[in-house]
Amino acid sequence: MNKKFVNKMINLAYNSKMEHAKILVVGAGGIGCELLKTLVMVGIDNITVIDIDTIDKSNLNRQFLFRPEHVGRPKAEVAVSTLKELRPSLNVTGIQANITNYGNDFFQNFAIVLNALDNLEARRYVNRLCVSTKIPMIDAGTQGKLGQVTVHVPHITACYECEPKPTPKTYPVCTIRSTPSKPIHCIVWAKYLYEALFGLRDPDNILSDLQKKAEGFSDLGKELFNLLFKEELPEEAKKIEISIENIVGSQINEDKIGSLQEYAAGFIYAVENLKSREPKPFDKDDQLAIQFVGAASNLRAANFKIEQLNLFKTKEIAGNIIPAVATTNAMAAGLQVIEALKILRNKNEPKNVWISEHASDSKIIVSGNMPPPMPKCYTCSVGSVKVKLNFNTFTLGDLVSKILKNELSMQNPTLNLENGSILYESGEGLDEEDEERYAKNYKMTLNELKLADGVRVSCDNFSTDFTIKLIISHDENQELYEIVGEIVENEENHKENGENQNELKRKSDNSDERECKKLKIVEDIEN
Amino acid sequence: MAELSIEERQIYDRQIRIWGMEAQSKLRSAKILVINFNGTTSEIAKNCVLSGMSLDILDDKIIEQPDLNNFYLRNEDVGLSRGEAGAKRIQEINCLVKVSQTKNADGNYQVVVFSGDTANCADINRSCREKHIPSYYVFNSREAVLVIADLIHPSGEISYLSLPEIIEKIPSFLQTKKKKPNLRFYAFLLALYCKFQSLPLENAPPTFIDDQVLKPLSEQIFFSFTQEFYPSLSIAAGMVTQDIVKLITNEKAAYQLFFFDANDSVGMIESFSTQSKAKTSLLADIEISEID
Repeated sequence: MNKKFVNKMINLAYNSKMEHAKILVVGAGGIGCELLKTLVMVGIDNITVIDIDTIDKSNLNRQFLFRPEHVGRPKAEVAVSTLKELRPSLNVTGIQANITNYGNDFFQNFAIVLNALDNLEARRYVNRLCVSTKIPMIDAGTQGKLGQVTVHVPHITACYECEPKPTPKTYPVCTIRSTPSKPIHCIVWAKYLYEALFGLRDPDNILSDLQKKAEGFSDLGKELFNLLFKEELPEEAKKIEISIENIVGSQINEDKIGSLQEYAAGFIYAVENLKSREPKPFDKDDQLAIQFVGAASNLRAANFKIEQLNLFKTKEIAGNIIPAVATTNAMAAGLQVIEALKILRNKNEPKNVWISEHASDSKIIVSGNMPPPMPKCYTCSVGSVKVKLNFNTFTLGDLVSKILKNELSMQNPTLNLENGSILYESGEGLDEEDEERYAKNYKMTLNELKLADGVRVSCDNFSTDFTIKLIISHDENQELYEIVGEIVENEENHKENGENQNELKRKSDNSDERECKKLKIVEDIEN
Repeated sequence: MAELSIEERQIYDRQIRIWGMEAQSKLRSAKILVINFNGTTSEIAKNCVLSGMSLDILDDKIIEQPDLNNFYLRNEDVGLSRGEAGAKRIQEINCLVKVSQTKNADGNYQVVVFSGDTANCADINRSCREKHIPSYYVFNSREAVLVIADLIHPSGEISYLSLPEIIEKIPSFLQTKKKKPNLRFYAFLLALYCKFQSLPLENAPPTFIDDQVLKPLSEQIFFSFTQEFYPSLSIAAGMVTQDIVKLITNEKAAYQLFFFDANDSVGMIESFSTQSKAKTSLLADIEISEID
């Protein structure tokens, strides 16, 4: 027992073995800056950081690699130049771009991917590429004083998408248009109104009828005010009694709840300024857009006797602003680096970790084992094979006969794209039209079929109930094809592995977490 | 209290949404004393400055190569004192606050922060208590880090344990049976106790955990004392700064002891009662089942 504990106290801190691993940091924001610092300080010196954003003033309370004079400049670029100023010998690269422009070829270069992102879409994208390139990914997120770090080792532990994520809340159209009951309903309405009048002017906007009505107005501010807050209202709503005629536009106060006169003046001020401006989609940092939404939402709240909110709070809700502070980000990033080192050094089992605001059972930072992959996960559970071939010369027919039939022993495969469209089907019972289309596809090259590099094709062989996912990347120099990734276990194999791994399972000394499959990458601690 | 400027509101926007406008103006008038500018206190200093607090740094040690295991010090700072270079570098992070080097710590401080060896801790604590200033002590041993807070109230009315009093409580705490003790936390406390009392580990007081289990862990901690591991110290620095913000904005501090170990990624908090032994021993009735 004694030996076990001593061995567990492994040398995370002073081991130089894996220091030159290439690390990808996705995001140079609050967590990203902290992450870059901590990686550098544990001796990791080969880092690529990618971020599409530029620096905003409100970043400066936590994104400490940036200074006021950097506002407006690309985050990735400034982060790298600040790091190099401090440590000239670092091999850090900054890329200002959207991560979704990068495919397998790019991801393959890295030993580990660390997410410091602020949105679900990008996280999903990175997850898929990490699954297809089998690169471990460690995600982190914070909100105020709460934080979370999760480790995802493709096909060994749950991927980021194994557990469904809550989708953003949406509201029924009628609630927004005619029966609001909460401040958020008024704010959503005001944002739609902004987009219809001064923003994207999308014809599908639920308030696009109001935009048409407003087209004929000569005094836009006043006529719009009367239309929205006096005339165009359901019966049970209360009309705003003030007269707009003598109201002069002026900005509304950020902190205080205003009077109806003040909101009317704010409305006039915003409309007067917005009407002469080029249409621009809603942006939380756009003062005029916020003035408009603040005035319009509060006037509407008065119509429906709903609680009013000050501009500071309205901006938070309208802009989906997540409160953020350096301390939580620093802690989350520290945990991310700790778990990354466990993977890189192939010792100690990485954990998923949560930072809470209040301790439970004396623990304020809690860790738990990584759950196994979900058998039904669309992203990671279906068996997948990676293939490299030349999109310009390789035809769909080659794919079916050479790879699916010869290599993978499928008899009559059906090929689906991720969007659900069918590329190819064979066998009996097809109608003439389909048969003709598939025959045509069969002769076309992947390029002619307009398939993108890194495309995923789901191949089903119904007769054997066998499904495999092909991840196909383009390689100009490939004369035939090359299978680069081996077949990953399908659901059946998963179960088997699970049982084998159960034998290796060990108890964690201080945790009451449920026991999970032991990581393959983790060697037994006695070794 | 003077209202925040537009500049301050824009820069601090995301954290004002956590603690409010009034708290932010209290932070503006706060001043922290940082003693010993090592990796840990440099992170605390950075966090404090980002939150909007001003600080003084007391450290006249001349920078040598090993001191560069500190993100904010650079090669070209070698030869300067850690206090001087540290103040300059931390100041660059936020121009809305004031960061200075101090030679005699004569400012009006709300909180004092120290990290390093145990040698001067008792003296630092004594001077802080004389002035009723809460103080934080952060002890590193590679992956493991322990924070002790002396939360003395500025009015002096509410009684809080001093640093030596907390240390004195360690042996009885380690004898109080617990169902699932965090072994590394216990081992750290034992090592720290020996450091403080200048005891060799062989003469460490008995604990309720098998010596065979605890002593080797304590030994590792003992011999790696003051060695910093950046990810762990970042976590301790975050916890310390969050509690400093609470103290300054009149919220109740969260803990007296905080312990984190990177091996299992668990962070514990604990508070020792100001009461005498009788009360804590009630906990001893709980049977321990198995330690592993």
